[in-house]
Amino acid sequence: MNLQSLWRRRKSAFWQEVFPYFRYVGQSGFLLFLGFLFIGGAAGYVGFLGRIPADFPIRTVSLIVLLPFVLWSSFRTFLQPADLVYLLRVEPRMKEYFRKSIGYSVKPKLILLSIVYGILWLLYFRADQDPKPFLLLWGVLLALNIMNSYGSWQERRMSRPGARWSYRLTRCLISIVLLAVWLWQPTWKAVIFSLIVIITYVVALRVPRKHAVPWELLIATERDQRGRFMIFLNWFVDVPSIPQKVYKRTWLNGLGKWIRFQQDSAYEYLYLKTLLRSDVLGMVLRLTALGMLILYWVRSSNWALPLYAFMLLIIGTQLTAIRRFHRYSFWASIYPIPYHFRKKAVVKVARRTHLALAVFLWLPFLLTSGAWPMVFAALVGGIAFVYFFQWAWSQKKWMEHEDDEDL
Amino acid sequence: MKTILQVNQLTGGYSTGKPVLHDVNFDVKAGEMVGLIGLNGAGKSTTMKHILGLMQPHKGDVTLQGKTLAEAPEVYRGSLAFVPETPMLYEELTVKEHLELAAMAYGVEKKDYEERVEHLLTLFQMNDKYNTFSMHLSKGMKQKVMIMSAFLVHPPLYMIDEPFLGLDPLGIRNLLDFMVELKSRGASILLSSHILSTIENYCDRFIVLHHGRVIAQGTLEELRQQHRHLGDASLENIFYQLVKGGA
Repeated sequence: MNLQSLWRRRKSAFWQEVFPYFRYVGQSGFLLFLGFLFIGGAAGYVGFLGRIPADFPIRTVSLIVLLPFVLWSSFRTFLQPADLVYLLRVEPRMKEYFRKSIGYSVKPKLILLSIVYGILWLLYFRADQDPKPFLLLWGVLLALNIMNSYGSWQERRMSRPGARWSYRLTRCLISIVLLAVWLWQPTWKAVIFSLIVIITYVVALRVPRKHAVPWELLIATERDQRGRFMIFLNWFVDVPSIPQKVYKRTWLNGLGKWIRFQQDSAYEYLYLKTLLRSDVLGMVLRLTALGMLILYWVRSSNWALPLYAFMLLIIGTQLTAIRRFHRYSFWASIYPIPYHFRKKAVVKVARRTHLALAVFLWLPFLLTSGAWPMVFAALVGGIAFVYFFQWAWSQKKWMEHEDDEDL
Repeated sequence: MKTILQVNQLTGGYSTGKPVLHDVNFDVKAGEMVGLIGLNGAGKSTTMKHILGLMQPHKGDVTLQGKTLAEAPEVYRGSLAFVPETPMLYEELTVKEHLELAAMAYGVEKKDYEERVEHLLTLFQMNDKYNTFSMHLSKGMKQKVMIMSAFLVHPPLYMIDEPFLGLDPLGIRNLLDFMVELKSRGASILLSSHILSTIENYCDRFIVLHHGRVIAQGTLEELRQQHRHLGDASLENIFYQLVKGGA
């Protein structure tokens, strides 16, 4: 059995499956939006390069910008549940398969890191008092990302979940410290320190017990990654199956309590519970947190209100994914509840969530000094925006009939 | 009789703080069919995962033909075929392709493959489904593909988790007869099932797991000896007494 060609077949099968959807991504204007963002960002950046403040914290900014790209070390393995039966026998040879997988996963991250570094360099060598040589720092960043990928792969092989998490945390801390040392300290100190830390880390990685192949973990991770990719495509077009990852989030369990225990509320209960444990909630919460942070910075400028509206629009669009939950659920066609109750429940859950997030997003406005009528007008405007958005969405044709294709 | 599988003082589970299995001890000898029985959550699947090497013991070890997975991965993996409780198939492959894949993974010669597959397809009445994609099969048929994939490769040990789920009565009968045939050729079978009345007459020995511990093991006669007051009780009655007492 040729495992390398099996890997290649699976990779191309995956891309063949998702490629047709990219047409819709292109049509959606998303690429155009990205293009504008890039041009606008580039113009702003170039302008900023000409007037960098003397006290600009370039080292801190570099650390914050580079860190996520240094840490990023996920792997696509294209493993499937049936491999537990059919590939277990060839486990001793699976290195051939994973070599391909690791190469495929690491290369794009190194390229992206290099691009980000190249862009940041323009600012770094102007703003830093004592910049490191371009090639040296580039090599260091690539080495740090490779160290992260190696560590991350070894973590996956560890059989104890506790060991996996503690090594993951250690890896993050080491990466922050090493990156900081390279940005702040002279080269000779950074070299000695890095060598000691990396050698100790690599030796420490050998300690925990490991699986030759952590089958179950890799299969579950692959399913999640595929799911995330499909959710991304789902913003633009209806993808047939989105494997949902379930997050327990027990701290949110209380939120279901206010739903009345009656037949009419059954779908509302189902959709609320599903939303609370879905990827979609994680995504809108992250967007809200990001929005609050940005709004905190720009709260007193003219950008604040348009940005508030823009964030509400993005969050609302994300929430429309709720309608895809339980689309093909067998039980939905069995329950003795009129079909249109389902759409009403979906809109209700989306609207309430959207409203709650609109209030959270508005909180940074409270920190502006004075102009209280404007601050409260922003809240009223936000709420009106949510009501209008949800009303417009509910008027669209989806979930009209049981045999609808719901497009 | 040569020992094929030896589970030795096995304590294990996903988290070290909360082991699911406690000091589990048993073996399966060549030509033996052993039934692993227990209530839901007793630790049967966890035991099987440890034998498959998907989990690592907190204490103790598992050997196949005298070797642990770490000592001899090739020997270990080649000694074992597994039928999971829920069929796990590739949607994009046909029945034929699944069987070929299993044969390739285990290094079965083409000639042997062709002979064996013919026999298995007839036995499980799957001749007309040979070129069907797995996604178009019923649950019972998917289970048959799993069983055939394992039976094709003739390893020393078969590990079969709840094989009767979804099978029609004829399928169950043929499966049992085929397992008897395998046994007579010297293969060992570790079987987990809740259908005690069915396996009672087929298994040579039974291992009763309860709350992650082996609370009894032996032949039906030996188990009866331990519960004399029940007379010639069935496996089901003995099992009921055991778990009621140990609950």
